[in-house]
Amino acid sequence: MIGQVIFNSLTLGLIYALIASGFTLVFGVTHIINFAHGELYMVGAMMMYVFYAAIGMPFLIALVLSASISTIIGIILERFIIRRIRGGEALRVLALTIGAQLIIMTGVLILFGPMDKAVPSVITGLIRVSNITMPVERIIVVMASIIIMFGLFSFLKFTKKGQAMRAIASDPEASALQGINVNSMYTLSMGIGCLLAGAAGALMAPILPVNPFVGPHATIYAVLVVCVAGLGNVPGAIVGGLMLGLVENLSCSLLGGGYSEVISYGFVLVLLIFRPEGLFAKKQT
Amino acid sequence: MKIKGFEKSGWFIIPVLFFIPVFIQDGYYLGLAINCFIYIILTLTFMLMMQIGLLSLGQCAFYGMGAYSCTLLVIKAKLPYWIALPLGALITMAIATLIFIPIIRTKGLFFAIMTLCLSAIVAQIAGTWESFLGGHTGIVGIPKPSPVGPIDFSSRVHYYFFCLSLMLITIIVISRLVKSNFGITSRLIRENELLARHVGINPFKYKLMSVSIASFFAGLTGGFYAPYSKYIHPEVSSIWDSLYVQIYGITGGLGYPIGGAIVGTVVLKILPEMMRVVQMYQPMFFGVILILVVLFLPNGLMELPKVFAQRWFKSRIK
Repeated sequence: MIGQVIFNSLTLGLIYALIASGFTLVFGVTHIINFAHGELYMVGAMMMYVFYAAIGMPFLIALVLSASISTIIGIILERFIIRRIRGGEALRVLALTIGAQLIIMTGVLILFGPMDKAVPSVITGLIRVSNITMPVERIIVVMASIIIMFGLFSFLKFTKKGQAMRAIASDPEASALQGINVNSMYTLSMGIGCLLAGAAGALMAPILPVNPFVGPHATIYAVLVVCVAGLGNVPGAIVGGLMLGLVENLSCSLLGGGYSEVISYGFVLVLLIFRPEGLFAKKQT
Repeated sequence: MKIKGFEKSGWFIIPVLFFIPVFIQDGYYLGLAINCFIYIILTLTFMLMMQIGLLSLGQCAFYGMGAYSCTLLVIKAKLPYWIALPLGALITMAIATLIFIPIIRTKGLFFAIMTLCLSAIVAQIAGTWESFLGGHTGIVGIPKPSPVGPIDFSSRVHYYFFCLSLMLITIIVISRLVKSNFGITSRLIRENELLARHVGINPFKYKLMSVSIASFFAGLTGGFYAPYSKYIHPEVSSIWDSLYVQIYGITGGLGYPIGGAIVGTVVLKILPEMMRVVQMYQPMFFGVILILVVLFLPNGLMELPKVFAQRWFKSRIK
């Protein structure tokens, strides 16, 4: 039983972790809270429907294409809209991202209609280990998430661009003085963040509902995870996502599905009472 | 620079509002006006919280709590409506204040999204708790309020006056608050919390008070909505309406708590009607307006005359 819960939490938690790390990465580098982040998740899922279900491309290609489209939309968002107010009051930027969220959501609504889209499973079938039932599909999601996460981690730690992004997250001015092109890094981080969200959406398309309205839900979960983990902290976001996935799944099994959001929210609230900055918040220098 | 008399002139509209139902009896337009009034009140509460720097994207959570509390008091506890209404608002205020104690501590913009979550949570609780709160189908058959003098709530016009009175009371209370010491202190806390602390002000206390007052009035309005629409359901506390409240506020102008709330709400309620924007496209319409306002008219529509005046003066100086 416990094993089953752990497995289910793993799927959910990793997806939360994916979405949240994209969100927190964007914030860490650009200091923008992107309310439209969830929309990129939604776009990834929708595109998966288009490429995989409607057109019938192979799974992997559909996945890559969907994530790419999310990335492109994110980059357009950053270059043309957000950049104009960069450095402005946080409220104005948030309002801008809310406007973007509304536009993206309505755009998808107009193009695809409000009904749920069905995306078929990649592989059906179950694997049973002791008394844990593991749908093969979810195993794939777990593996894909881990690979992506690993890629993100290595990128941030080992590549020049990744290190540049971490530098900017710490101190934009010093980074600029060192010759880092802050502008292009902003765009890059936004692109990567949106890529993560889009990939999460695409991966979960066969499993979770796909309709134009799932965006804010994803954004809310990203925020909850970041509240738990602390802003700007990518490894923290991963751990936080897993924690939240665990909490939600546990409450789901014990109390039934209707209250799962309430429990997650309550959990975060309680955590905030004791650690308002989040569990793994960066130390303020 | 305030243009003298610009804000005062707004008060002349009040008698006009009282006379409108004499000329317009059409249920549709009265309904539109009532809807405007409701959202003006909600936006006013949003502005009140903005005065102290709390960006709340969850006013509809209070609205929903107020609607449900009032309804349950009338239907289950069999209280007369006129007792249930303020009591429901008080219950909303109590719950909101409690819940916000940890939320207020979150940093700036995360506060905003947590309030949005609150809207979603209230909606989810209302939708799931079948026995007490009616679940997805909500609560139907809400009775009319007991008569007050000649007003027996048999027609929409009566509800119009009821809502109008609520709105005027809210405007008066909130404008008094904004101009009072409470307002001044709130603005200080918003601008420079550290300084406020050094002067001996407890920001936490003031923020909590702000939340209490805002939630009271929003809850009161929810209590109005219940018998008016005779049916409440979880979507009364919807995240979209909460977001729109914020859009009305920003469009009106955050520096003008009263005028901005009214102008923003009225313009954004009437404009889609006049332009006959299809229901489905409305969120995009609002998104575009929000972006345009933030980029080009950052202080809102209330500053439009000032912006024009400045441009006009500039062109003359050349």
